[in-house]
Amino acid sequence: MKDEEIDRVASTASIRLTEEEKKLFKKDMENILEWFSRLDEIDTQDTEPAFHPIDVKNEMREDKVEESLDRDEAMKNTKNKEDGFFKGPRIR
Amino acid sequence: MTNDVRIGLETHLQLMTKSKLFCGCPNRGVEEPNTRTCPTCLGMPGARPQVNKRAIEMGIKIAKALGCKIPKEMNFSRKTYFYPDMPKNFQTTQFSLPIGTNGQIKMELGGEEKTVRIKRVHLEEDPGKLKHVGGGITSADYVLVDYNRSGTPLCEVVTEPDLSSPNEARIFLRKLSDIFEYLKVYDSTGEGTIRSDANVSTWSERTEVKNITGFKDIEKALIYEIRRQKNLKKRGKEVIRETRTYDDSTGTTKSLRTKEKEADYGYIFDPDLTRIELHTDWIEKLAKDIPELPHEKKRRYVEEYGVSREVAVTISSDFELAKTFEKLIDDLDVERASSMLAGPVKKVLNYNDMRFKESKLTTEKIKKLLDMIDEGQVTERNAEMILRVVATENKDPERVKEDKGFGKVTENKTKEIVERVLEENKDAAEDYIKGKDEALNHLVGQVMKGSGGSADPREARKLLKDMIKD
Amino acid sequence: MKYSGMTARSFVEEDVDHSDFYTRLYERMDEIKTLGLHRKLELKQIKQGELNGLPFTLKDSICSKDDPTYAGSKILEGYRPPYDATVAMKIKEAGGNIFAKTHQDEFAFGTGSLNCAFTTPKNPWDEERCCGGSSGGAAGLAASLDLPHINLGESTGGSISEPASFCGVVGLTPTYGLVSRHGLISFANSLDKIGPIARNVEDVALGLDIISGKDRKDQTTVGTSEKYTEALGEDVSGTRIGLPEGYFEISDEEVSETVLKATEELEDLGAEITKVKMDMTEASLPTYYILAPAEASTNLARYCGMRYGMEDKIEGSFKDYFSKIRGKGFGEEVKRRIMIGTYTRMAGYRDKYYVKALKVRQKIIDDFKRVFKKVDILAAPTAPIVAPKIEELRKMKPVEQYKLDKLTAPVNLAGMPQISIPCGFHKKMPVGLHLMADHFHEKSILKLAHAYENRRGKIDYPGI
Ligand SMILES: [Mg+2]
Ligand SMILES: [Zn+2]
Repeated sequence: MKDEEIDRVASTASIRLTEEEKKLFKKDMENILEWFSRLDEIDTQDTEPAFHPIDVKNEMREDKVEESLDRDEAMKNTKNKEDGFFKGPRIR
Repeated sequence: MTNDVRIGLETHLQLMTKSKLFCGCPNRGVEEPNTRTCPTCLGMPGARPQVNKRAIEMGIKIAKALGCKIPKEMNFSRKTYFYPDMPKNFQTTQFSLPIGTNGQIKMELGGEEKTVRIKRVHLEEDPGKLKHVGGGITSADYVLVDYNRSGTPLCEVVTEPDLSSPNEARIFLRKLSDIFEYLKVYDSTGEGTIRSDANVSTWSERTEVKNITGFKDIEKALIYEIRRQKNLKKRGKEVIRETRTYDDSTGTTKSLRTKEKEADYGYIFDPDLTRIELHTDWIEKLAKDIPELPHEKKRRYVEEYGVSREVAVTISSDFELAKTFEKLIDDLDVERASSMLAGPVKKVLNYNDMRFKESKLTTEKIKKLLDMIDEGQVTERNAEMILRVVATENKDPERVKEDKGFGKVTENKTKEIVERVLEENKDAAEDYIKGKDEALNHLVGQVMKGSGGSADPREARKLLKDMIKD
Repeated sequence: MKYSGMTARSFVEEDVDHSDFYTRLYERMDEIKTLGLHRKLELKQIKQGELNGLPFTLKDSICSKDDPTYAGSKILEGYRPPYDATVAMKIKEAGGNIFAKTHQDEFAFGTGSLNCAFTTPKNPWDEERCCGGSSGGAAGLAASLDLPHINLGESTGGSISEPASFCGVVGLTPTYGLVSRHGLISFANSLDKIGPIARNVEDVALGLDIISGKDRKDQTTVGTSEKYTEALGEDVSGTRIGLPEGYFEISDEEVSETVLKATEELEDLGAEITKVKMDMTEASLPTYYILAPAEASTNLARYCGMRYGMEDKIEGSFKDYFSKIRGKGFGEEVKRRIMIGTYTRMAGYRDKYYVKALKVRQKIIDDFKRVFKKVDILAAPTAPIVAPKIEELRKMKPVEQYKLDKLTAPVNLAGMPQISIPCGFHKKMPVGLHLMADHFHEKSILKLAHAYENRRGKIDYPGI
């Protein structure tokens, strides 16, 4: 695994890693990915992917309006707010 | 100029369910920020999505109406990317098993029919709405987020790159919106209910322009982007593959990111939702609800009623207008009804930038107006003046006629004016007697002017002839 | 009233007002505080009702309205959910009281509860050893608190069974979908299951009675609520028990022997024991470590310093701000799994890892289904070892640590019910007997575990 690849994964996951972490995870991931490739030997040609372990399907909700949260409740877990809006960082 | 332009659109239309796609918050209502939210649409830890059955049924109808292939089974996926308007930093959307693929839309282009291929139709949730504080999208200090819109059901329609001009793109969007309105799944009248991303290529490399809201901006944004690409080429520069954003305040597109910085969405099946089997009997039951669609109506109007193609397109593209047409011809001549609707009525609607249902017009009002013309109470011209009023005000045509004095001038009154005109234009009368027919036209004009347009020109002409002879 | 050693079930059935009991409970909690198992909650008002005021704890990843709920992570420190998880709601409605949150590995990523951002829970049998993970606090509390109560844990790949085994208590992992996950802070949504942990089988059955059932807020729930307590005490003779090949061989010899001895006792109770061959055991662990992080990395995307949890002054671009908060707020193991989970679902690798693992998962499920045509229950050691020393575990490499899940990952991937029940000791530490059954056969394993428990007799829990 190349250094750039670790950078790309970290960037995709939006996580800032220290240089030590990058080195550590690179080694760990190489190990782990090799371990994962054991699955290559298993023949899955005629197997469908299992989305859930049990057969659940067609679960839907009727189109009914339910009560929303009180705004103060919805926003009580952050200090970053302004005039009833959540405040967030700019795009660029 | 535009023969090498290829445009593909990815258009999002908000569906008119009562509640949101994955929670019970109202889909529309109070616009105080963050008052229509709950743990699910705020992406709070542990909250689950519960998919709305009506949204799926709307999706099936849309896919069916667009002639799409509907799979045996669909599901939802997580499209992971980070953005401040996305509560979970993933959007629940459809990936490998969308609700429809391979459809088409037929649209009228300069008297010809053009087919635009639909690659796929899928359902997904809308993110929240951003307010950029202290600048535009690329220059703000920070953002304020309202998650009221978060979770609004969207239907995304993806076309093949079959459109070849900004104008075509606008006509296509209108057409798409017409079909959605016919299906009663969409209301085009709200702000930001239709939003497109456009793939534009004028040569080889294409750019994606995001964030184009509504029908007018699509044309503006595309004109700008095509011109930008052509200018680059003229100067010998290359168009690079990138994602741009449309800034409606300046009417320009700006670079957001280049291809290398493109997000890797890392799609996985959303394990909080179950797969949904789309049984044939379910689809058939929903298909029964699909009304006759605009292009079908158009064809029928031409074939059954002998209406001109152009008029048929105009009437059929507005669902309520078409409904009025079909009601009027129960006891009216087709020609009479269609020329009224495609003519003055459409003109008034265009003038006000309205759909029929947004106006105060009703079949009854139009019927009454036509009766008033037939009974000789008003002239065609004044009928149009009355239309303008009743299109925007909740008033009866008869009342407007009285209040504004739009009634047709009586014969006696016209006679008086004719006499006065003849008195004042003796030369013209002489000319007419000498055989100059244009002189009579001049006199009619004077009579019309004198009556403020209320006189019937045919009657004025007859009176003038009679009185000159005397 | 003598509460020490009283079961939850008797507490509920005693026709007595138990409100004074909470003073005792809190005193006792203060005494065992040193083990770092739980975070105490303030009870504004003690409920009674059907459950007679029975005390409950929730794993830190289960939301209860206005109570601190951090899922063991710094990134959620200070978070108080504005709503109740369905299980919390059910407890409250039945007249139970949630008095503590139990410590766990951060976002349930771990096998020893060493990845907790706030504390390291210590095993009440030997404080140098770990409690297991990730529901370590819950199992540790069940073992150390000798007063009637039920703990709710959560298992993704074995996080109820393994700590129950390490702490010598009973842990039940129900069939996927039997208990609502609404309000459970997700690890991996297609694998997560909430289940009860207590000192005895009756109490976990009672816990399941209360929390199970279809919930419209979690569309992956199925079935109806049953009375699991009613299944207890029935005859177990004729039960066909399979000993899966491979499970005993890789375990410590003493652990294997202890478990085998327990199966002999089951035979004495009339069960029929056979050996069975499983084909997909080896493939299970890599499959689990692909699927769980893939799902987890999407669940964890929401923690970005907005709306709730760790935050900072808003400045810079969102990309910088989010990356900074996430880099600071998540612990090492969480970052590692986000990296793995992001990688295996990226374009280009998605088919090789994520989609492949989904297919192998189906084969694992089929493997269990096939075996459960021949036997009613599978019996094996819960974990290949007894609770390791905290220092030993810390020194292990990630993949070595992951291998502690080897015996629990297969059945968890299959979403099938399992119970771990103490069946003896090795190195003075408890050993767990693992009983597994086909989907929705909770009653069979509860019945068998109960019969075994009666035969085994009481355990002397360590006095703290
Ligand atoms: Mg989209
Ligand atoms: Zn909501």
